[in-house]
Amino acid sequence: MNLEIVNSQTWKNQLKKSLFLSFLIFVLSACVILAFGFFIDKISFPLLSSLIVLPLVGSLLLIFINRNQEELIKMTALMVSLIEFILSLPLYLSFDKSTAQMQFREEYLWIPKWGIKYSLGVDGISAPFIILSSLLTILCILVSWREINKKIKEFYIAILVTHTAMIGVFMSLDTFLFYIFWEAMLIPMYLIVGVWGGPRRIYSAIKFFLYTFIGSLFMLVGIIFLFLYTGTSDMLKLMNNIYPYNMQIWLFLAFFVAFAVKVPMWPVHTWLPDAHTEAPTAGSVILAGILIKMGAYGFLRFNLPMFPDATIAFKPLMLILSVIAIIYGALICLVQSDLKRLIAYSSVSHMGFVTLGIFALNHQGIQGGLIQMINHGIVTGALFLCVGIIYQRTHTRQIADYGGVATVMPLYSAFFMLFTLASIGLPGTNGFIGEFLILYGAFKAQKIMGILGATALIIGAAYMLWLYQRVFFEKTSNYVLEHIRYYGDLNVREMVILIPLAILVIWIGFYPGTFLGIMDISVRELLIHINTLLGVAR
Amino acid sequence: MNIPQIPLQFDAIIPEIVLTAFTFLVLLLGVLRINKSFLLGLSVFFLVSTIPLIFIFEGKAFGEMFLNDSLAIYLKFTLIMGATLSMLMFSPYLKYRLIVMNESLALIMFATIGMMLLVSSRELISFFVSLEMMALSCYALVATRKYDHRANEAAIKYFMLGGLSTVIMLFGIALIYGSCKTTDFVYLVSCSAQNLELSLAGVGLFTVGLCFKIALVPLHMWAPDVYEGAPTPVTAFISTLPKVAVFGAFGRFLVEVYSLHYVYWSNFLIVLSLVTIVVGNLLALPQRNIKRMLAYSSIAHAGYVVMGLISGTSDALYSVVAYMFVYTIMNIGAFAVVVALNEENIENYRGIHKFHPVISFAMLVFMFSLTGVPPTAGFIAKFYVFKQAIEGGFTWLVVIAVLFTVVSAYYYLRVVMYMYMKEPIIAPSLIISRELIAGLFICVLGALILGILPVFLI
Repeated sequence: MNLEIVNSQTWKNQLKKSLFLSFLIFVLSACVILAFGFFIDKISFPLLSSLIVLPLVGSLLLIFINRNQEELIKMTALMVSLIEFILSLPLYLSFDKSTAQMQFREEYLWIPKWGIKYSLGVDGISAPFIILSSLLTILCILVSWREINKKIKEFYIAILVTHTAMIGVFMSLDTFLFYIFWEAMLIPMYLIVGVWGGPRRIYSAIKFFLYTFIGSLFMLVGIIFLFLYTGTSDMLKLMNNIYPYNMQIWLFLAFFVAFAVKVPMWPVHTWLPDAHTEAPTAGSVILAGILIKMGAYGFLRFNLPMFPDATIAFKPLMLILSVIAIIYGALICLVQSDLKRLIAYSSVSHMGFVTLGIFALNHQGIQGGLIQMINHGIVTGALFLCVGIIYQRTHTRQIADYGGVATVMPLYSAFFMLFTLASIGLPGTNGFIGEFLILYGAFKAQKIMGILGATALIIGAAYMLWLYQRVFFEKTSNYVLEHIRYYGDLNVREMVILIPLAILVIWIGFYPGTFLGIMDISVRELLIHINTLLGVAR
Repeated sequence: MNIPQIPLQFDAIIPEIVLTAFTFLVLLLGVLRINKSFLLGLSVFFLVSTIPLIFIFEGKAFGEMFLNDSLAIYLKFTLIMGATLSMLMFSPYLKYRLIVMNESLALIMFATIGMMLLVSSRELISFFVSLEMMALSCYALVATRKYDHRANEAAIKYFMLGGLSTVIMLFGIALIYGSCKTTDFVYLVSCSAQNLELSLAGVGLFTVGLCFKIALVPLHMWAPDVYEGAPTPVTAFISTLPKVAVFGAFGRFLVEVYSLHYVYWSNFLIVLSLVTIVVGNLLALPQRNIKRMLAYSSIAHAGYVVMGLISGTSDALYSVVAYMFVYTIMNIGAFAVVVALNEENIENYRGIHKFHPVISFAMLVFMFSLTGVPPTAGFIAKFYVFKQAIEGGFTWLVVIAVLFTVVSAYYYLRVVMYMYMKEPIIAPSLIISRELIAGLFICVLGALILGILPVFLI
């Protein structure tokens, strides 16, 4: 017992030292890159490519580090992700908010015979997710610091590779490239869930892989079909084409399968609770934070602009599916006995809001959907991080085992409360902004859908507050509390993880303009684009 | 019948002649008691040194009978690369298993010569002879371990069924000759309009014979048993390269010679490919033995390749060839891992990652590549084939193929799952050599790099 305390003391000292060191490097490189961030549009620097390549280089570095030097491996991964985050900041700082054109374009011929290009670019819809992804990756690495204790090297490599694939999806402007990133992400994610997950990890990993794979392959058929029909794989050119109505329906369905599995929409959501629950904390955060956003992003990039007629035709169905997901997800949350599973099902509900907003097909709805995607990434990511933090102390996820945690971890309880309120959508937190905009959009599109969606907010408040009550107040179970008391309240590392997210929650809650401003013109252009295509078709 | 005067011009066949000379040299040197690793290195060197010759001697030989054009060069390059890689895999068997070295090396080289000739032949008799040269060498290769009962059984099975298919094919050739009065591909093209039934029956039987060699359902029964029984490096060889050669030759035969009969054979191929994909993938699911699993997976892959052929354009032929190139790399690589681990039961792969991370990573790459997940080369190959099929208007077929790709993901990932996600019981003992590692390294690099930069393929 004493020895362990001493160990944890020295460990804490080491951590403080290394954190200080990393902070120093962070500040220095931040200064350099911030300065450079404002001038990035003046000089031609392949920013997006370097964002993609940097984590790969980092994982190559990790390969050559001896597997016994665990601290070094972790520090390297952390450094790489920090630099990546700083490097992604110019996407915000020198982003031109007055245009919906793709920015930071890079284009090289990749497969000359087919005219497939390595083409990257971001607009207001995709830029925030790249930054969010970079931020969450840092937090994932930090939270895994002590949680992951086998195959450490492979774990951090997998995290970095997943990050590359995810941001690649948001950047690519070529369907072929998009598909490669989309699928490449499956491999490390499959390993993260399957190797480092909980007791039922293998089942969940395979389920996750097969569900997503089957959806993506339908998308592949759609991509090939589009490619052969138009002779190009450039997404921007594909958007300006007009396709026959029948073809639009089929292609819409092909892409819909892939994106709906990823979002996940009801009734193909069943992989999500398993994968989220069994994944290690970092895996859950990546899954909830970024990965499932790729589905909704796909709707905005492919289905809406390319197949507007089919979108109009399927709009009622999509709205109904979204509302079912919202209410069904929320109701299921009420009966969950597992912390992580509850949050996972709340994801189904929240992502239902996102698709509701997107398929409301008006400015408020889509913008709300986008901001809700970011919110969900922050809040659900934070909740999973919180669960991970307490799981490390108690090694149980059963709600029934907890009770009275607030008495021993007051700081932690405060953070959890903030994220709970954000998840419910209390005014002043970011959740409110997203849900308000979505419901506003939904009311404009279909009153009944708006009303049904709004009812789920009540259920949402019920399950989250009830969860909070059961875990943090109520009965005091001594056994678990002993464990927690032994480890104490949040340590520095955990504070570092939660503080940025807490700041973001309140920031977006009071000043959503930071993000809405970026998105605004892109969303408007998207709607104008859809309407012109519809007009031409008639 | 007058025999046309053929100008004796054999530049294009020089690589084959040189390789034959090398092979005899290897046989002779093997009689002397020289170091076996040296002999292996020498054979590898011989094979590799033939590659530039293939590129140099592009052209025709013996009139129209032998053609070494860009497609043939591509196929021959694939063949020699594959033969070299499977030869490298023989090296652990030098040390640990009883195997007659110089003869098995020579047999591999003979089979390679047969396949190279097969790819180039533009005439039915030389086609048949080179096919037999390949097949006989393969039968003998399976039985290289004299005292291994399983291998002997496999060899007998392979030989009997292979012989049967040969007979069927020969009958087909006879019918074609009967209807067209020629065996030369150049004249077959022009004559194919007359005597339609007879020549169609001939082509049908000929095709059946070839389908036997590439193990398409329902002519696949021999494959799992033979692949399981043969020594693993031999399995890698016979499950890959004969298919490359036969697919190349077969595709050219159908697409270039019988393009007028497209309507007939394309329907035939649709059924074949559909049945092969479905049966191959479903039967691979319950397999516990990795060699059997890979055997069924190779059957399924043959189905995908046939699907690429259906559209019947020259681009379709390229998609087939590219698929076979990638398939060679990933399949031989997967077998190389099996050789190294010296273990056939998938369940005994538990937790191997803990002891041998590099080998497990290699297997991971091959398994994902065989599934067709980007960024591995397997994806590019599948993409190309699917693209061809959709271009030919067979979207429904691609949708079915895609569904069964998901099925295939299950059994390929099971291997990864055992290696990475289960806890180990016993530490496996590797049998490994420098040559094997080199071969494995080439395969992994190939599977990864071609997936990102498909330079050769497209």
